[in-house]
Amino acid sequence: MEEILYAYWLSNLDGVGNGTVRNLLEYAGSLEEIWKLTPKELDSAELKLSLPVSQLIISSRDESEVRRSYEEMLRTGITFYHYGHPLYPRKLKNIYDPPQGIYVKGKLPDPDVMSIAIVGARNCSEYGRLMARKLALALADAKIPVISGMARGIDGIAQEAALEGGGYSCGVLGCGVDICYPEGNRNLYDKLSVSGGLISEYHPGVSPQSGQFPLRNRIISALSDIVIVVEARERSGSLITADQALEQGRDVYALPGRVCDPLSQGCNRLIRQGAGIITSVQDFLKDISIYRGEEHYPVPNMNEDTKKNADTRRSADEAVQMTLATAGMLSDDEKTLMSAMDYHPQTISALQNATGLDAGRLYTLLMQLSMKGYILQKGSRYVLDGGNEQLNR
Amino acid sequence: MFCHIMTGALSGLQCDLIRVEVDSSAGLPCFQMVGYLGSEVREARERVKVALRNSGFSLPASCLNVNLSPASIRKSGTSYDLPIAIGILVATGQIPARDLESTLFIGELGLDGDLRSVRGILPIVRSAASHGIKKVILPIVNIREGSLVPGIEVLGASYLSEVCEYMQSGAGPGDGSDGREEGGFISLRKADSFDIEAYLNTALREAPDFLDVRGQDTIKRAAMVAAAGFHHMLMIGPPGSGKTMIAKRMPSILPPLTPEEALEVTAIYSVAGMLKSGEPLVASRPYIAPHHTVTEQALAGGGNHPRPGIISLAHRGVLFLDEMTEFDRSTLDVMRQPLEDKQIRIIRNAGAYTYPADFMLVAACNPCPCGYYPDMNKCRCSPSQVSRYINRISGPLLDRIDICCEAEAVELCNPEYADQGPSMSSADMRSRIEAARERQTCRFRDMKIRFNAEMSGHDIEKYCRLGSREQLLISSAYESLGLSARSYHRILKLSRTIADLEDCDNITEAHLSEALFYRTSGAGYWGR
Repeated sequence: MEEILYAYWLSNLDGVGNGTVRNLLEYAGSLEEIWKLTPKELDSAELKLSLPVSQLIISSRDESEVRRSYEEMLRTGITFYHYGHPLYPRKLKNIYDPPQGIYVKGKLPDPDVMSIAIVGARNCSEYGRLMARKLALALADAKIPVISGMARGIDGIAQEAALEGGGYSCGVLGCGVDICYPEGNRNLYDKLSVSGGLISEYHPGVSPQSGQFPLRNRIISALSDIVIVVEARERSGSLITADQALEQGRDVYALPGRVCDPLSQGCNRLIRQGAGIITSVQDFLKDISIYRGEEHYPVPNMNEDTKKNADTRRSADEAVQMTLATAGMLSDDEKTLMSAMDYHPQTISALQNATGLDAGRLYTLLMQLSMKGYILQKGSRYVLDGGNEQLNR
Repeated sequence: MFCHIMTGALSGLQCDLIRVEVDSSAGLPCFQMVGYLGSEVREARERVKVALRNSGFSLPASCLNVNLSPASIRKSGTSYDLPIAIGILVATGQIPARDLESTLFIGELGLDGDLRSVRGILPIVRSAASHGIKKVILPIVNIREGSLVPGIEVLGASYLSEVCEYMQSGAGPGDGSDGREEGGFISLRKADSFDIEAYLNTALREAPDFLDVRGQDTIKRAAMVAAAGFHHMLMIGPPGSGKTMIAKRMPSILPPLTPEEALEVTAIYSVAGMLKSGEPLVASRPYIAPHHTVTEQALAGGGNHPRPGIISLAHRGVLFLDEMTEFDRSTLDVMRQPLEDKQIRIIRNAGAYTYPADFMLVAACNPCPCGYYPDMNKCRCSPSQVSRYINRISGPLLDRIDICCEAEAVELCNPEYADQGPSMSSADMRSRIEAARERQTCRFRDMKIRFNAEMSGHDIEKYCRLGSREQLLISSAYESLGLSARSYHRILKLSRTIADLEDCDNITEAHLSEALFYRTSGAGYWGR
């Protein structure tokens, strides 16, 4: 029997986790030897196997059955790579507690290209949605794979945008790769399984369970060279990913937010602790070009510092310019209103105060701008449409 | 000897005339009552017996048979005591018969012979008048309510003995029928003429003022639009943002009741037995705020002989549902049909009853279980929790609500609010609403409707003409928002009201946009 089948067999056993496989390997020497272990050897105190587990190992040794199950899985488009497999991601190998095998639907990220993880809150704000989209679109443009957890909120938004921008994205799941969780991301799941990738260390059919999600975070950070946290509360799951990334020697970047926003507190704390700060997408791309070895920036001295300030100001100016470029199609009043709009939802009375327009005119303009797709109505408030291409580019 | 006395039986807001036939003949002494009687009416026998004795009359030892005709109608209530007592007295010859054909008797008797109030006087007197009855004798406490009906003489009595004195005094021909005895002794009080319009104008409106509401200008504006055109309104917002406060102030800006409306409402309250003793007429628009544990029957009206439910008591007024999401979904859906038909038909054992239910629905709810969605910094609810919560209100019900508005959390400590100066008061709002009302009165002068919200499809075509720009706006909105045909009509009616408020003859883009804004404000919550 091939080595991969031994690995497949082991990873399919309930109660046999990564640790157990490592112990068994140490004891037996190779995967094939584990298959051949006698009941007496399995009972040896060194292995510390519980009775049901050792019995399961013995009773499941049915070569034809393992082969049949493996081939059936292949037919559903899911592949399996064990630790020793040549296609097993290199980046995964050098972490603490690497998965003994991974199941993949779709393609694995290119091992020779740097990849970046974008993670964040499930209940994200409009600001988080916008920034996740912008970052992912920029990364897709730069042909950098985007790794994430396909969760609701930031994860899903970033992956959706990466695919939309023509890039590659890979979702690391906390359940079997044949299961779409959360159901709300069904669309993204389908797209990922065709033009991206889905990875899990759990065998197909394993249902999503809360304990499995923090564990998959270590794979997200391991597969990427940089982890970006877009929005996170204190004690959020995204911070676990950031911690894992630091343990694994990956760089962490965080998107700053307002001090009073609970959704940004986790990020702001990361920055305080020394994480990279994302002041703009352009700045971030410059930062990472060092990793990519394309351009090397000299260590900034005092003069450089002021130059950098000018840079940020320029990019802010550019943003306004771009908005104005699209504003060519807008009337004067519409431009006034657009300048008062924000990525934080604005109430009618706030907009009225800011623009000085009378209520009737304001309603007309708001309705027109939302029909044109520049702004969105959120309840009784209006917000700039984070998904509008003309505003993003 | 045989005689019959006229009285009335309520069925819903309708009233049937009933003949109380009494026959006294020789035979074994007995007192029998027949005619499909409810238990209250059967008990009348004991009350009448004792009341007669305590009023100085005696029940002769004869065979008394009482029949309430037509015997096919179920009789209930306590208003038959007086006609039965009078019938017995006339049949046994103790008092003379006087104008029995054209006089209607109503009243409950106490054991000491005093007359007590009964419910449903207004509809009974009204139908008596339409059946050609000239005179109604009723308990003195009900006299002002009875006198609301023109063209009929209403006499009030405090005791059974007074009624008997009146009958005896007027036995002779040529006697004045004003209840005045020759000696100048008044046995029955005649009702003073009642000027409904004057009463409505002097009626005090006791409602808190909108001046107390700080900020929330959008919602106040929406409330004004709702009150001007009688549109339904839903407020969504975090706890403590002033939704209930605004709803409680709605009565202060509602247009006054017209005399016809006041009579409609009074009839309902009379049937429900909810008229206050000092107020014969309901003078201001009702404001009803049921608790969210209310049952379907209480809302729609129910009982063996269904009485008006909460939605009928809110007729021509405001029905405020606070914490709308906490109501039973099935209870809320009871309102779906009345919201369209403006009336509710209740079918029970005793028959089918129709009560009017033309109310303005004002509702308030939180957007999610914790109350703070969509403020992601405060809200910890998952999207499925939010949608589960908000979906307790069914889509078809929402489709009938014209105005949806989000209440924003108000930061009173923020100096911005202190600097704003006085906010719009109820009086300011009312004067604008009244101007809009005038336009509507003028528009619908030859029609049965009073408010823009009541317009039919045909009226909409006639009064909600759109220019080409407006047509373009609504058709693109129709596509991008996926509106239903009903909501299309509702938006037009709403924009008509907004145009009326702005004192414009034509609906402009601004009016239409504002109407669309109110319509789509709930979209973020329901994805509608």
